[in-house]
Amino acid sequence: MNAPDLQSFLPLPQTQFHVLVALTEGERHGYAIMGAVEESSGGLVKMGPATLYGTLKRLVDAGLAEESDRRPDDDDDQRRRYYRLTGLGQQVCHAEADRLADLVAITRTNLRPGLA
Amino acid sequence: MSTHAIYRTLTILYPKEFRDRYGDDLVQNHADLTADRGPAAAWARTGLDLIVTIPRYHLETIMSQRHTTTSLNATIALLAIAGIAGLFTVGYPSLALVGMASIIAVSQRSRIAHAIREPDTDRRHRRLITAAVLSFVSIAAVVVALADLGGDDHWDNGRLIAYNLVFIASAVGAIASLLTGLLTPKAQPRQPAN
Repeated sequence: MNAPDLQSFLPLPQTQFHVLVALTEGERHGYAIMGAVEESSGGLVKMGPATLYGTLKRLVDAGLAEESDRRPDDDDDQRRRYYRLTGLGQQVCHAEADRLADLVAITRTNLRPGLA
Repeated sequence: MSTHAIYRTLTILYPKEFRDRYGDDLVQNHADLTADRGPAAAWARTGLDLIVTIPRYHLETIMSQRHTTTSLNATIALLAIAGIAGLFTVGYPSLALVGMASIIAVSQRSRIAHAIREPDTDRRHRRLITAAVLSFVSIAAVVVALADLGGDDHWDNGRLIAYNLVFIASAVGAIASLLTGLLTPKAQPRQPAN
């Protein structure tokens, strides 16, 4: 089977990238992902439950994230579903981060103080 | 009714597939939000979320492959029915609609065939039962029409058209359901794990 073309996933929609970034720290359940996204965006991105699970559905269907059978915390509610990045999800997350880094570099170069 | 019960009730508005997969998670998430930030903040976020995502997810469901095929089949059936029924009112020009239905069916044959040939025992049964029910309706339409109009010297055009419409629609539906039912393979039973 051919490996999927990473470029075909880019650019990632903002919510999907935020969720993938939240999962780079490890397995998380839905509410924890929601909190992580809010924190990492400085409170600018506030996802509702259906937006979050719609995004997770797309990521799982695309093979970028998957449900985890393991429950990291034994005291936690066993009904909660945990999610983690797949290998492909990690590669796509890297590729999107590189793409954004290039964009930031171009912006910083073009808008250097004194050039405006 | 508690705030969670209200939210759970509102999740009924989501497409069934999404609700079945994530309904409990949505309610759990709403409960977490309520516990952490209070009902007002929880509803401020989930209320807006409901308004934005319910129409969006329904639209996505409609645009998905399976539903596109269903819409395609419905369009072809409606054009065929309208074309045949039009023979009794506008005459032969209505056959153009049957031609359009045929052109769409031929041009999209691979998509239709894929939808029909997907192994699914339940769907096969549903299609065959639908064919039987529609056959009964078409025969009943003829019997009722003959009993109703048979004694009249001059048949009432309105009722005649109505009976014809019911007969043609059910007959076309019965034939289509029978064909698709017979062409739908039965699913292979799962082998028990060793």
